[in-house]
Amino acid sequence: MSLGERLVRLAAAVLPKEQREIRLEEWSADLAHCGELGITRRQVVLGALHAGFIDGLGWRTPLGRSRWLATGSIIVALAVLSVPVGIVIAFMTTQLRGVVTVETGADGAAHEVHWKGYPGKVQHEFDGYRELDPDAVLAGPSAEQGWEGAQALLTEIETALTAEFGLTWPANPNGTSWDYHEHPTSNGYGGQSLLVVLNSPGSQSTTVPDGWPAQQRVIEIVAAVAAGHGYGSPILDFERPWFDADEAAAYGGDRPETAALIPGTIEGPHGQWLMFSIEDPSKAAGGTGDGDWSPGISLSWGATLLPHGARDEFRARLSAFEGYPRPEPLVSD
Amino acid sequence: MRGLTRVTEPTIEVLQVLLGSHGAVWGLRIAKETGRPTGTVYPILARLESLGWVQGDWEDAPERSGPRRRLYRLTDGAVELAAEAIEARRRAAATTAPRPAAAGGTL
Repeated sequence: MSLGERLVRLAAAVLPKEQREIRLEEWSADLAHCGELGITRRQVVLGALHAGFIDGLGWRTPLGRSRWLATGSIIVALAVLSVPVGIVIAFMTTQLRGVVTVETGADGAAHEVHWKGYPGKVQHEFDGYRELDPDAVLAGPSAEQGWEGAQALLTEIETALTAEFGLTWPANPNGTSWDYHEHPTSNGYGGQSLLVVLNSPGSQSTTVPDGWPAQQRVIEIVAAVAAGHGYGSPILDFERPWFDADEAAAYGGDRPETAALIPGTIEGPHGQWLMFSIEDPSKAAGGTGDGDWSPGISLSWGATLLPHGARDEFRARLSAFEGYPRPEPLVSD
Repeated sequence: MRGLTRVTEPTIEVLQVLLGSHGAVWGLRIAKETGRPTGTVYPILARLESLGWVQGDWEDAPERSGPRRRLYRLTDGAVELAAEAIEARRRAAATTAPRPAAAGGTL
């Protein structure tokens, strides 16, 4: 079937049902014999399409109620579909292009800055967004050094807690090890950061000191050791602005004194974080110690750091963004 | 048969071709005779047919293979109405045509 025949068929298809067969045969005959009159096939096809739009879609003639409804439904459906399709296209375009801003350079001329090539990392926080300070990144330990420091930090904490509470720490409880392993991460602007994410293997004691006073002491010991490595003060999840009833239900209480689970975090000086949690099933509702609670103190460490081998490239790429305010990162990053 | 609610110049031209023809006329030939695009003539024929002014029939030509051509003729009741419509259009055109300027001038 030729293109002309297909288009004529299409034109006939939009006509009212009682006309379709008649017009299809008529226009097909015209298409076949138009040469006798010196009329081109193209003219016949265009005429059929024109007639289809006029008689079929009612561009000039009044429409019946059912055809109005059908036409209206199609328009509404297309309009509704165009919204998510447009969002997806915009999303994909943004992802491919990354964040682009127009900045004024030192020469006073405006030019585009493509943040997809930014080597650092900017990420959303609870109340906005935050950049990992590039100067602090360069001044801090490399990813490899951070990994070694984390191993020393966690060992020191385990030793201090064991000395006071007589705890036992099974080796590699989850089958994980301290073999160095880094994960790539996005820069927040649709590109890849030169920074990498590190996550230590978890560490968990087999028992937990009883009662809040002893658990409070656990937190003090963890904080004191961490402070010796330049870390800040511990923040319990109960103090976080997003802590709500759901969190309280998950922790078995809304205060550390009564909760069965006491999680907290201590931030390091260069993008590291130390997470700890104290899990005491006896503080769960009813104090039976039953349920999914597992007694013990858990420690884990993570960081976003720069591998030693990427430092020169980090500096070089960073220079293209110096002096420009960091735009808001993409939500999906 | 219903009256025309919209009498356009192309409609008049189509009626003129039908009125001046002996017997039924191929739709595409009407387009050729009027010099109008098929996209204009096809809808006019369809409208005239739905109003009962025009009768469309398939060509009886067994020697031709493939789809049949559709031939159009004015219905008996429409012949006089078509002539009136054409005449009315002619009169209207005459009254709206610019008048020739008077020779000479007046003092």
